[in-house]
Amino acid sequence: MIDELVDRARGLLTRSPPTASLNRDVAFEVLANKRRRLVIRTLVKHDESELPLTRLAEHVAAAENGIERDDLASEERKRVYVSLYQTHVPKMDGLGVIGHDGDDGQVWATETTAAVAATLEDVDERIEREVVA
Amino acid sequence: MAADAPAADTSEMFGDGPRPSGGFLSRGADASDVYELVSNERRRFTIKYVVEHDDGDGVTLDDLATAIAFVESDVESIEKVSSKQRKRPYIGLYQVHLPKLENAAILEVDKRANHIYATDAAETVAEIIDEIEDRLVGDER
Repeated sequence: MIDELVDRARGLLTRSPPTASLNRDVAFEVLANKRRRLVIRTLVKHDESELPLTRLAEHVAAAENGIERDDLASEERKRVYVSLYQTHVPKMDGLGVIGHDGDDGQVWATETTAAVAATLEDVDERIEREVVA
Repeated sequence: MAADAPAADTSEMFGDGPRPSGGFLSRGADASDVYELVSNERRRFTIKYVVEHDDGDGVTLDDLATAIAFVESDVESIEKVSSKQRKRPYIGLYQVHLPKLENAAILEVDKRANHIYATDAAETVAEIIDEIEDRLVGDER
């Protein structure tokens, strides 16, 4: 925990963004799906703690629908939960992009998650600035 | 680069089906579209290849397909790429990838002359691909 905080502080001071060592196709495939991008952003936002998958699904569903978590219909919540549970979370865990414990259903951000999130943030900004003029 | 390239008449290029209008430069695309476009290895190769090789006169579809076949195959020199090996990337480019890249205003395609030109967006997207690779992709073999 302390080490992690020290690392993070050092990262902020030197402004060197975290990097990852993913397989090339994996890296681009992870970025190519909107729901996966939301999973990454959500986990990094909550990176002090593990999240139950149900909670992650609520955050993702809320972001997709542009509403607050409390206002989600049960169906919206469930639809996203099922797709995370059956598809995206096992896949991203298998690729080493997020942490996941299948026994207790917890998910968490890893260093790779942080690297992907930081890259997304910068590339998004760049696309906004230079490509979608 | 594209600024010097003749404005290709692309209106009848890929059949009569509905074509999405506009592109990144003119309207409503977002980051999602860029991530989708660069998620395919042949499209990434194509973008980089055209940016690297288009000195204003464009590149030919034949040369691009040959380069892809060479990279994807085991032949030891590019001269040894057979027309059969070239055919698969050629068809994929022609039917799938070039229309997508053209609709996104990343490339301009002159079908009659079989030439492909980079746009300004191509250069930026090529740099974005490099940035993602630098930050997220490990050394491979």
